[in-house]
Amino acid sequence: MLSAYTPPPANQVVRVGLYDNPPKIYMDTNGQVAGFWPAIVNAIAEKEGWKIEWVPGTWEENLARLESGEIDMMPDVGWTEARSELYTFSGETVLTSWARLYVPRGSSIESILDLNGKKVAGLDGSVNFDGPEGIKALAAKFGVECTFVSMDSYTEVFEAIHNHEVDAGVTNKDFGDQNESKYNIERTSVILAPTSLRFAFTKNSDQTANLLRNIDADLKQMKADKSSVYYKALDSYLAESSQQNIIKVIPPWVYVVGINAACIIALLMLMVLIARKRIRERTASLEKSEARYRTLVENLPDLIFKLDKNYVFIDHHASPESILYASPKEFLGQSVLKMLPPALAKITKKYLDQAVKTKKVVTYEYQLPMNGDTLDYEARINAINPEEIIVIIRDITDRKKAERDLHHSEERYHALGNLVPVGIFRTDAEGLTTFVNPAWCQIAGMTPDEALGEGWLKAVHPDDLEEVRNRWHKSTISSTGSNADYRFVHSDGSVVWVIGQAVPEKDDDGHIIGYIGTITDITERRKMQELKEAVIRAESADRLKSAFLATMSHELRTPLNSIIGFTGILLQGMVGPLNNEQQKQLRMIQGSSRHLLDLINDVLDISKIEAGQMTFSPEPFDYLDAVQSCLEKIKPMANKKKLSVVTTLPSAPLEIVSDRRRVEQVLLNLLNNAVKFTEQGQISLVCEVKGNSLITRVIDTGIGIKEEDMAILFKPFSQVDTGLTRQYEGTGLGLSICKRLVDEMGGELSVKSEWGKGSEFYFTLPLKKGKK
Amino acid sequence: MKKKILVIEDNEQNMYLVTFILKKAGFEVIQAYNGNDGVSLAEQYIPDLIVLDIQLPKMDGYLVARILRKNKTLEKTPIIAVTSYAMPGDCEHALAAGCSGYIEKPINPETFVSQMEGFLHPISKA
Repeated sequence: MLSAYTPPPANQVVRVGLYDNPPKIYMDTNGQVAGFWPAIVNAIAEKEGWKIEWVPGTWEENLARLESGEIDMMPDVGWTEARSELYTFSGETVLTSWARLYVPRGSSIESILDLNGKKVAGLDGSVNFDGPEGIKALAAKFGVECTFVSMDSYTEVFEAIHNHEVDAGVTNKDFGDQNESKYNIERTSVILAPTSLRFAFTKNSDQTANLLRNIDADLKQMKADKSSVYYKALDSYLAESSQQNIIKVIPPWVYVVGINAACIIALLMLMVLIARKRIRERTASLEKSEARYRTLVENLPDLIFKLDKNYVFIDHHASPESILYASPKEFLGQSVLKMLPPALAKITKKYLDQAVKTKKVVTYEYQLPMNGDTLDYEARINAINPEEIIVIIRDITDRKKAERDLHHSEERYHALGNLVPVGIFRTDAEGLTTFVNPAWCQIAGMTPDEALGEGWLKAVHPDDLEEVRNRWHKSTISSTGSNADYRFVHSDGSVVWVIGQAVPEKDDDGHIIGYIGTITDITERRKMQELKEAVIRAESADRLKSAFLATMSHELRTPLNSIIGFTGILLQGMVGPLNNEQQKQLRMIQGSSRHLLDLINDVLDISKIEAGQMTFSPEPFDYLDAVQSCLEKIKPMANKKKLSVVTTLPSAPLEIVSDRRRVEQVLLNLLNNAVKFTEQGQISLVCEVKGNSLITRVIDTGIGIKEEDMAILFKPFSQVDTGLTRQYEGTGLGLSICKRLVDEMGGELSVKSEWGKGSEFYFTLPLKKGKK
Repeated sequence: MKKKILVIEDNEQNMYLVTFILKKAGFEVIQAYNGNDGVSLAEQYIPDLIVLDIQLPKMDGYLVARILRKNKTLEKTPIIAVTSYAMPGDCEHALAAGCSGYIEKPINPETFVSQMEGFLHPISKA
């Protein structure tokens, strides 16, 4: 025993790490080292004759110093297996401590699981933070992912919680007991890392064995003596702050008994808490593993492989319907990487490595040729336990095919939407436009951006806007389709008529998710329709006009019949002899009524021509015969005016095919005019055949026609020079009727004239050879 | 023996005019003022010629002509339509209805009788 004892050198200097962890160890306001641990250290140093040199630093810095031998010892180090490899620990436990999770007052965090996604602060390097039972390890065990913030002291941890810089924080119970009331924070029921706090010594010093032995012996002694510094220090520094005053007035013996009882109760409570926590953890882990198995059962159609750490197949599960790339005999005991095609093996290795490294479930998709088809698979690798990697393979060929089909179909519809000349639009459930195709933009004269939302309404014609808006609003409220004709106005002012249609688009549950609709340009159709309507209106107006004229003509003829008839009877002397005056006056009546009849006939002719109701009955006849008959009719009047009538006609009969009645009407009208408007000179009639046409000229030496009157010559009711109307009686319709009749018969009527010298009217008729 | 002519005409003045001219020329004239009377008088008196106005009350001239043409005894009796030549196709309609010829209104008193004689002539020969 003695031989083993080496006395410590006098005034031996012991370097002790000092850091801030009140009340256990800290520098007080006077710069004095204080706290529970310094009290013990100083007592031992005094007894052993050591000189203590306090080396200030952070907890982490001092642990590093302890490891390297820069300091000799550190107080208040929680014993762990890992640390015992780095430092030498005192055999005696000085304090038992644990840590608590603190949160800002009013926080909803109650358990470890509530920490998911949260920020948690702790003391850098401390057992309760970084140790195997610390908060980090615990969170990982529960699969809780949170951000950890390392602090240099517990004070900083509390401040961070207090200031809501973090969502939670971990401190040991001693610090918490002393300081929690100073901050706006509260305890949770989460208790961590019950720890035996001891002295730790550097392994790099010869002093260590000596220090260890002495300190262990002294501690044993102190703990046995209830009045020792140990208990005094406990009292001064570690009793809960709120109870300090009460405890002070309690006699020492009560206190001693009390502190023992309190320790026992605290320990019991701690044990209960720890037990409860362990049970909770176990239950959670059981539930987790049960859930895992349930998932496995539910996933039975999947292929499940178990691999060892070398990625060798060690087991598998396959449903009867699953197709295997190789038989179990072939692959069991073989490496995955050898079994698979090289390219796939490379990918597989990458994901297996990743899963093993991250300890997280890794999912990926791949394709594998199988019986001539290429099938799609999804693999899930679970390498939480690297010795036993679980790989779940699912056949997703159908899903992938559906995805691809959907993609292709959408592409097709998109291409179609760009090509069709029909405008396509889509809206959301509220009827706000979300899409328009190029044709829509072209029809409405807007860019897609301008059309979005309710922007398209800006292009709607102002007269239609109100109705379109109301109708669309109504259909979106009632969730029905709509159908409307309306107009868009382009920026250049052009108007486009469209027919707009829309139907609701529903999801699988039948809820309206929007509307899809088309607009079709119906401007052309609309124009045609308007034109057609106008034509119909005009036609019906025309029919009405000609029906009116026909009726009027009939009604006028009936009384005229008896006027002309009786006048004729009287003039014939059928009733009795007439004197000269009676005869003269009756002839006046006869003349006037015949003029009236002409007028009625002309009006009727014009209306028939205009209504396209003039009918022609072409038949072969000798044109010269017709000419002679007309000449006979005007000769009396020409003779009366002493006008000579000269004719230049072909010698042989001239057969044409036409409506003789109408041809004579034209000829007679022109000859009548010539006689009527000529006071002296002659009337010439020239007939000649030119090519396939028969040309007839009626030339007079009459008053002629003024240049400016030529244009209105052939217009109905426009007898030129109204001043002459009285002088030259006539309806003013003759020439326009002649021109139209000639037109209808396939010829042309024209005029040449010189005012004061005479006129030449000429017309052509197509010459149709007779049967010969 | 005097030839009998049935005149079917609703206008009193025109009836008087036609009757006057025909009587002067030596015909016997039977008068009917509407289509119905015209048909029954024609069937009763079997005239040698019928002068038929087209626009008539109750039954128009076209229908009168059609009915008369179905009567065996009147099959070949000349029926002369007196039309106003107002509506397009009036004449064609008249001929299609069975009329032997037509005269445009207003009639010409100077030529009216000779026109009637012309229609009667081939029948008197037969």
